[in-house]
Amino acid sequence: MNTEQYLKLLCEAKGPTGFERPVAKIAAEAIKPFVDEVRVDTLANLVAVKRCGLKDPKKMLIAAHLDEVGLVVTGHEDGFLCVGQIGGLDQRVLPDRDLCILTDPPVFGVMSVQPPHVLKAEDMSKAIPMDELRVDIGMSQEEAVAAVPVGTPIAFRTEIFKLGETRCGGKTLDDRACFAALIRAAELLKDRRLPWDVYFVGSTGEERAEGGAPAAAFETEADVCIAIDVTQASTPDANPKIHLGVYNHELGAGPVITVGPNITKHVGRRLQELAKCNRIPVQVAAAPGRTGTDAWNMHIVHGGVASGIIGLPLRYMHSPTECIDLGDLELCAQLVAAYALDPGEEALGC
Amino acid sequence: MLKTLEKLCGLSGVSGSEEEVREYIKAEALKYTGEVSTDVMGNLIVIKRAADLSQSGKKNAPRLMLAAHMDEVGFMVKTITEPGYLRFEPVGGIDPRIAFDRKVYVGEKKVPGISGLKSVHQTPLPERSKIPAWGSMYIDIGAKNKTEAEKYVSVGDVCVFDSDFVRFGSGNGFVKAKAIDDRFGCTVMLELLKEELPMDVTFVFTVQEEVGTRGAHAAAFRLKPDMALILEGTTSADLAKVEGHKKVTSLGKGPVIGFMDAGTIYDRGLFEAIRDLADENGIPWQIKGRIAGGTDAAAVQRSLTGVKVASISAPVRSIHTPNSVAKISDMEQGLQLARLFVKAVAEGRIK
Repeated sequence: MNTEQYLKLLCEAKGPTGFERPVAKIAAEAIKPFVDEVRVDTLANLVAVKRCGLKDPKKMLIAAHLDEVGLVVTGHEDGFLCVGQIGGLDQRVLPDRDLCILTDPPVFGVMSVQPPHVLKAEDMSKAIPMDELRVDIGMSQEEAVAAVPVGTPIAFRTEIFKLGETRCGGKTLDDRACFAALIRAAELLKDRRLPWDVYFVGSTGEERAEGGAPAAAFETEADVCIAIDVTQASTPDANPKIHLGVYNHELGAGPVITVGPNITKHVGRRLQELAKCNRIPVQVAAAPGRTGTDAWNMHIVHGGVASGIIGLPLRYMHSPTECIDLGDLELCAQLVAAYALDPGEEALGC
Repeated sequence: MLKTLEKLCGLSGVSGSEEEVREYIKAEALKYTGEVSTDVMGNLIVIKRAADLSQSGKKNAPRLMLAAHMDEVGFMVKTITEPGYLRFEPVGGIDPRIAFDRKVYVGEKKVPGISGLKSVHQTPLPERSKIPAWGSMYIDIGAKNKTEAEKYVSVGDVCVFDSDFVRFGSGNGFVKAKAIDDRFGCTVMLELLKEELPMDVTFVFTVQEEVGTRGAHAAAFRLKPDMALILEGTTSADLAKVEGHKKVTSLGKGPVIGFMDAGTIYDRGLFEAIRDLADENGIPWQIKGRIAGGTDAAAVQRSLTGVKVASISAPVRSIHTPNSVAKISDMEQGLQLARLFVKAVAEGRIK
């Protein structure tokens, strides 16, 4: 399979935070041919290990999260579903959205919206508050209560599509595009000798306080933990470049290497050196505090773990139509592979 | 009926660019009649004669026109910016609250694009309750700059929403698709074309309804009907906690018989006749609870020396959006009622 096929397989699967297990299974099957072991842990993290064959090896862990933002059913009203959000959503992207309600089998729904014909003109310039949104599932109240229990998660259903010459659109590119990069990195490393064991992790719970990855870091006792996650890219309405403390990177300008307190200096430095040696164009992000990635919690597991972050630029984050550049994804994979092969003396603790 | 509706909803036909819909309907219509033509505006005019030839071309028979519009709402590219984004405006009435984070297809080459909105993280809290104005929105086609964008799209290209056709809900009795307004009407006419008709009927698949009922206007002048039945998709707001007349119409309560909307006061005699036909045949029917919206009837009624107009519509939730919802039973009953109407006119029971 090529990267676009992996993206289709991974991103079109549905797994809002807390309900990732089906996605972990799909991800496990996808990465299996390129690693020595795969397992799914207590918190549904997928752990795929590529062994180096050395005795008492050092361990590198790299995590891309498999969970996605979504909604959850909180009640029923006149046959329509009341919802709450899973992860950070902009309420403005929800009206008239087609949705997959994750009962077994799934139920289809549309986020209902009052037609303009019955609204005042000023209503149309105001967003509908989240707690007023209701999902139309074409059922009576009795049918809805029976068919869709409270607590059922809901996901977007956009398919992955090619956008322009080198880009891709779709749902959940945050962060399964990064897991696709890990599959690609594992492929690049397939017949290579490694200086340490590499743990490719499809983590869970990221969109709710980065909950899954630290358990995987704890369990594997990794020496270096890297998070690979999407990062904000600039758009016409998100300019200038620094906006609300969010630095907007450029789509198509290469992976983003983060520096700051969440990043162990030798990891960040080595990633930059390797990018230079391998002629991988990179962008640098300065994060003065919390990074909002799996690296934040993995950094302090056990007595502390060396940590780093590789970012994939992405537009329209947490919408049903996110967008990445496939060139960036390939370069992320190359950077991961380069680091896995040659992390430097400090990482290997020589 | 559903197969035809699914096919038609999947075609692109933003007002002024109805070619794809017209070509499909034309090919279908030619299977059932030889009298198919396209006028200057782009309306497709299909005449089907009475099955009983003695009933065809009868001297005192009313000239009956059925009409449904082929066009749908969409966007139009206004400018291409230096970084390669497309600025656009709506074609027809679109609620700006549903305009962003949509996959669209731009121009005849159907270039995929995203009507973008910066991420939730990039948006300060107070801004998240405001809807961006038309003109400030943009479409991202994945181009790196203006030159690359211009290889694929041009100013004036129309954009159509991406949307699939889904059956869902209680008893799988609901459908969701784009452009149910008014491919429903087109479907009814295509279904009637397949049948043996009791009189000569002129079917007009109109253009540009969504930008001011312009196709129907020209068609009425050309065809000079005595009587016209408009088949439409109409507003429904029967959502959770919406009371009484504010629902406008309700799904599952049968076809909507037009008595008055923002564009037309329908011919009272025809309204009552259709209402009685429905009652006689056990077909549920409803009227609009709000005088809102409009149809091609407004243009047809005021053409020439005046034309008697009537309408039969299917109630549609989220009308003018990519994810419109209609109930199959309403649409089937709409077809049934239209068929009964033609029969009653042929028999002289409706004049």
